[in-house]
Amino acid sequence: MLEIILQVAINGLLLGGIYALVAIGLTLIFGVVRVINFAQGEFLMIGMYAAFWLSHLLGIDPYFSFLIITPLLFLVGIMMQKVIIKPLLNAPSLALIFATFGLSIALQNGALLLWKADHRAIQTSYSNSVLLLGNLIISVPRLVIFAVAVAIVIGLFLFLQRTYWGKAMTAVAQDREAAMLMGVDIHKVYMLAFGLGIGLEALAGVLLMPVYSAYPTIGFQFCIIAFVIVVLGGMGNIFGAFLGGLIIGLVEAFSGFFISPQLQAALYYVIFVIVLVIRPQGLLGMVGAQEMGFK
Amino acid sequence: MKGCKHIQAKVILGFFMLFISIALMASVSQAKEVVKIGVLLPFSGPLAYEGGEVFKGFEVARVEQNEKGGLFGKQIEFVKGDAVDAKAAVSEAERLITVEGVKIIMGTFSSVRAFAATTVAERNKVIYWETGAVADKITGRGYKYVFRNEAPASKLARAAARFGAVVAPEMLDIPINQFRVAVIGEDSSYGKSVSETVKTVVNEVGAKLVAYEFYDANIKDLSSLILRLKVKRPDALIPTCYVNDAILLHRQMKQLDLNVKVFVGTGVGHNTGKLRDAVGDDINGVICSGWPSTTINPAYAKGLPGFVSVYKKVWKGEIESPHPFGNYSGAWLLWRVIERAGSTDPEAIRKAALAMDEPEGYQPIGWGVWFAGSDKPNAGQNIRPDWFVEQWQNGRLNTIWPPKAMAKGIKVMIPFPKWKER
Repeated sequence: MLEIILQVAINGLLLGGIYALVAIGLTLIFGVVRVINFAQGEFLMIGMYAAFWLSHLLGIDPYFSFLIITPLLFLVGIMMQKVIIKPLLNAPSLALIFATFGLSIALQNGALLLWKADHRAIQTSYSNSVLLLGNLIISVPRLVIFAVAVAIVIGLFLFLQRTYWGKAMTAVAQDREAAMLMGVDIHKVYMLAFGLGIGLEALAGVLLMPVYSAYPTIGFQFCIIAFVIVVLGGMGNIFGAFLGGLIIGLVEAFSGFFISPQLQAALYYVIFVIVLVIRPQGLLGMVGAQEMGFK
Repeated sequence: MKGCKHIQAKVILGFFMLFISIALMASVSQAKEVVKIGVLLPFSGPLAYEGGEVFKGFEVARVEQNEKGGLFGKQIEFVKGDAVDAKAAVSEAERLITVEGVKIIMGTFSSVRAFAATTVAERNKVIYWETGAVADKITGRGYKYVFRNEAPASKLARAAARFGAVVAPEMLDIPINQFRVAVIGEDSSYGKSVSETVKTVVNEVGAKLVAYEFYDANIKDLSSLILRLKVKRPDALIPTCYVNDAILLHRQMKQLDLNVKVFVGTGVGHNTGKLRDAVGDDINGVICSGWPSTTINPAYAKGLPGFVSVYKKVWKGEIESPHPFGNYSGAWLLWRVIERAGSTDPEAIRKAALAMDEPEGYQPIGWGVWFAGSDKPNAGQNIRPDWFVEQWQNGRLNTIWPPKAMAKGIKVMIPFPKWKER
């Protein structure tokens, strides 16, 4: 029985790694620009389709195609900030919600039009590869996602602590006006945050391709979980998003095994509500995090 | 005076020309008298591919019949209606009936669209000839003008369950009361209703139901369910999935090394090429119920060789899915009914369809014909057909049930190969 419980824990942590990777981009954009990007999941979907087509048409493996897709989507993120977000920054916050929500619907339907509702999956030599630790089984593509999520969290932490643009980003997140007065070009910071947030989301999509199939609404489904994780971890907190992802993954795995697979999703929403009642700022968030922004 | 005569001559000439052209038009239209059939399918939108596949089968039936002289000397002509969703299915059915004046509509592939469009046909007393949608309720409403050739969804579940819980234990030489069956499904009405039927069959035949589990079709991880199943050690697994969860289930079963002796999918998740594209050779050994592929024994499906040759002539390519042949058989049957009715009058067609009593082997696909009357709970349903059972072998589907539909040289691959031995 102990072995099975350990196996459930491993599965939960690996699933948590997937959720964390998906949530990091969202929390970055929220923390810095303080925009809830409802279209975030669609960039995950675009990353998945891009990986699919590069693999299908040109035979490029997703573990290489991310080198093309991530920078491209980074540029798309910068464009999105310039064309859609910037003109609306001083408009009522509802306008931004409608804009990103509208973009989400447009991208979903665009995908439906271009690629139909078909499920597109790719087969790689490592899709079903496993590592064995005694009798414990670890899925290789899921382990890769977990490792990348950890690397991104550490990388972002170092970027924010050690580089000028990272410090500028933290400054803008803490106080937009003060940062402006100190000579920080906030629009460049916003562009960088959007570029990074969307580039990382696309990277997540590419790495998910050996595990899941791509279809137009997959991004939206992940986005809902990502919202739960971002709020649970403390809005705008990268470590919080990682921790939130792991918690949701573990809750899903254990409730699915011990209670019922049908209740997997329901239970983490219950935990989500309980955490918010007890600790409204999220697990690692500070009181008024939405004002403080990115930590 | 002279000018007046000139005008008179012009008017007479004008009338003469008009008369000639009307006469010509009449003769042309007489020569082009056709049997107009409405074809309602999803030609665009998310089910466009499947709709197109069904249409290929209809077109083969039309071309083949027209080459034989059509129906009572008139060529068959299709008028298309695009049922992109249920709402469009209703408006397009209305257009076909009121604007195009069709008396017969064929379709629909999708149950939701068929359910909506059949109501319009019934209200207008127009024949609705269903050849592809499977939801039981389509023929469960006592409609007089709705006919369905293919077997309904409940039979799809029964065919899979019968193979998984009756035929398989016999082949494996395991006493039925010791045969352990796990039934799982996604938790929408599709997965639940099919799984319910499977469970009923398992209990009826006296096999051991060791697991009966559901999950959300959008689930991102099935490892917990698979570990639960591992603890229960099932001999047979009978899942009802959509494509996405079928792929996830297959991949995670392999990763977590859940081995079963029999794997029987009940429908869409397992009988399309999407799963094969995602998991490759790992699909071999999966059994599922549904339309037969073109590897069915032509001694059983006697219309297969003729269908294949006309298909290649009309569509100039390989047959991609089982839909064209199955729906071709439905259209072929409609031509026979119209011939017996002697006209396209809905009342005459209704009478001819209800009077049909043909044994197994009559249709190109091998099915018989006997439609339930409008006083029956499944009015308009052809009750003779039953679904085929297929198995993925070397990356393609081969018919394995009923045994007489199995082509020469095909063998049932049981037990399902262990993951580590693949």
